[in-house]
Amino acid sequence: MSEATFDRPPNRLDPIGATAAWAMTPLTSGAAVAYAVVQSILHRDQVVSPVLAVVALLLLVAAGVELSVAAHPRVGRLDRGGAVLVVGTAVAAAVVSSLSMWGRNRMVQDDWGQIAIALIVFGLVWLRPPWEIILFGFAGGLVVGTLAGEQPGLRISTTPYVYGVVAATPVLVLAAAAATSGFVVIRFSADWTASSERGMRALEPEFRLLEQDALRRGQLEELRRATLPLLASIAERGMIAPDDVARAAAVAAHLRGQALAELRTTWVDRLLADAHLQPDAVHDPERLLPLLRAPERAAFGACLLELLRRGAIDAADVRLVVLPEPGVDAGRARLELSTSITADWRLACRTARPFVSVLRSFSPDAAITRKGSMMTMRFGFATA
Amino acid sequence: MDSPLWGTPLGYSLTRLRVIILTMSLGVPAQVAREAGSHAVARSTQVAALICLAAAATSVLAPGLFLLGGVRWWAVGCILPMAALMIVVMARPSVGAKAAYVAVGAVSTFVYTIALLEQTTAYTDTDLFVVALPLMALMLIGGSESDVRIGVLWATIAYAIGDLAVFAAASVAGREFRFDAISLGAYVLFMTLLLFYSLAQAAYRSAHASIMRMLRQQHADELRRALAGELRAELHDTTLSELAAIATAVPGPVPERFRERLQADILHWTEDAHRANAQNSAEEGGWGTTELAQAIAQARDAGLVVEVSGDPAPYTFLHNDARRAIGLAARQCLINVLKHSGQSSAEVMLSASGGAVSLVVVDPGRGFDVGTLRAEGNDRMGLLHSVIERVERVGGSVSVFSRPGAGTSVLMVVPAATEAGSA
Repeated sequence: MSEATFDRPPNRLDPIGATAAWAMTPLTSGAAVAYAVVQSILHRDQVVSPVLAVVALLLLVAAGVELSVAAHPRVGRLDRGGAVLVVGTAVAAAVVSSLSMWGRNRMVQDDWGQIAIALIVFGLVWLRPPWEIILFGFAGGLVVGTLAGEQPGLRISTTPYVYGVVAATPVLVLAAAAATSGFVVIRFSADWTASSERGMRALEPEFRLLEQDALRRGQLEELRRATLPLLASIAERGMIAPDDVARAAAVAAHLRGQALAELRTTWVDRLLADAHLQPDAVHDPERLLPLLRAPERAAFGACLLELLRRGAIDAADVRLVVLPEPGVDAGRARLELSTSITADWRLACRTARPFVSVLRSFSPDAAITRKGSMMTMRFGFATA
Repeated sequence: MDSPLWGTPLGYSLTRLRVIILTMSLGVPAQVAREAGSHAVARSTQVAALICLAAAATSVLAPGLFLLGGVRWWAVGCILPMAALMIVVMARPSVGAKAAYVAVGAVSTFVYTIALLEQTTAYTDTDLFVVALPLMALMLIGGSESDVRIGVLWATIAYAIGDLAVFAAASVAGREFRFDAISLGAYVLFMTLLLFYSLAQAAYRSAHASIMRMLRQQHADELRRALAGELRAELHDTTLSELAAIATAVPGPVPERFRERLQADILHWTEDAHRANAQNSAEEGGWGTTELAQAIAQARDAGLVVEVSGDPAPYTFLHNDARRAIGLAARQCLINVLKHSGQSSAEVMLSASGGAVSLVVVDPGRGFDVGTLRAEGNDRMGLLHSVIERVERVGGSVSVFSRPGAGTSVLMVVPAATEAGSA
């Protein structure tokens, strides 16, 4: 397993797991905001600047909302800058909250700042690489620890280092827990992927044997219909009859035609057949669809079949449009599946969600949207 | 191969397939997700507990280092065994290690709290974050349990015992005992996250199986297309060239060499087919429809990488009852691998000798004590009833080779010509 593996956020390695657990982020963000509100009310007598107290809460709400939106399966990503902004906003909320009680704060343990930062950093578990979460934890812990050590007028008289420990520990604990969890998820995903790849390679001889045999038997069956009897009769007679010439030409043409048809068959034809789509369901004027890579093909195909199996969409209604991506990115195309929703939109959405999350791990623009009774699923892919 | 039609770039296709597979990252299937989730919760709570203990040690050392009153090394000394036991739990999370952690942790919490309260006179009661630190470390032991319900139980018991230790320490130190809101809040948060994890970890994982199935199907399609190219080339070099020669020939007697070519051509196809049937008569007997083939396909759909080795032909020639029994028993073995081994791969080996057909299902997983197989209440009833008894009913025998940490091999042997049994 390379170091680069750990540089990737867990949701890139286990997109389905991240989608399943996405609600944890709004849960922790909501808990942070609720805790902050409750503590602010309980200790309102210690507030010296109500305006700053409100600003602190608003900053925390902003951080929580931004984080929750990023974690939502429809978005499912947060870049480094975004994460810095989220954690920075939470840290700013903690600092402003401390300032709002500066001089009248009685106990560091009653401050909500450190808990809020801890929960926000914890909410990054699927979205950012573990080492970044550790850095965020250290940075957040350092800020609240330093601030606690500098606070005047606290009720308990002890060394400022103890105040620092009280403030920094929650942040460090939850950051370490999130980072460790991320490490484990990444390790399991990478190990399983490697073992799966090894297994697929090991299965090749078995697949090969089975396919080879099936094809050969199919071919023999075809030859037995007309070709072999013709050749056998000529060999037996030792002469070519006038009728044989025409028959040989017809049989050869038939075999060639069949081979051509086989050659032109792509995974798209298989999908059309498996999904019982209309023959004209695919609009791919530049024949870009065969260039779609196997993982994306598998995720897209599995999604379409699952939507049909659950009755969320109607096969007769499905339209696939594949066009080159407009704009500067010449080596990319865009696939758009549009169909009317035959059942509940939530069913369609819930069904497609894990597949879209997998597609998003390859193409950040993968999305599923609704307009009226129409559902559209789109994603870009590399054609070069 | 004079036309692109006949020249399928097989080498290219297979290389491409490998690249495709190597770029695939879907995360883990359901059974591995449960394992990964348990590991993630265990490791993260263990690390969190160690940080709590480090913070507790710092809290009790700092005043002595920076204010008058002397350093309480002995108080730190009582935190260390707790930390050491947590490291033991990390290495081997046995019930004994966890019980020892809770017991030693309660004593540590007692001594630590006394040291803390005596050292800082401003600590008038126990509703303090610094008092809550070993309590949180104690309750986090619940994360080391793979079964969430048992984990909740461990956490609750550890928390209760820890609070009793704090109560005792407060009595000894002559301070007011107050139930601290911090550890209670941490307990609620921990329980919520624990339950959330248990609910969320297997969600949507059927999508993983669907995608893997689709990927495997596409892999097989690509392979088929590549092989079909080889076959087309073969057809072109043999039969089609004879047909072309006939189609352009003048009617009349054929040269002897051409006649020999025609006979050789017919022989080529029919003999090859015969050879293929002999080599892989399993297919002739419907290998793909056998219980064993279906069991393997189902396990693969569930995310298990199953390697099959050996000749399936003797298996397909078995009497229906024996074939069905072996197939269903193998299915149960593969289910066991998914459920218990903690591994994502298994091997199915088929062989025949001495009038018997053997099938071995091997996994490199965590194994178990075979001695407990027939014990009351063990969790291997599937192996006992669905494997051993089922195979024995058709006149076969089953040998189970396993020990904790050393994988499991289940060897099933049935007589090749068995007429036995009502399965």
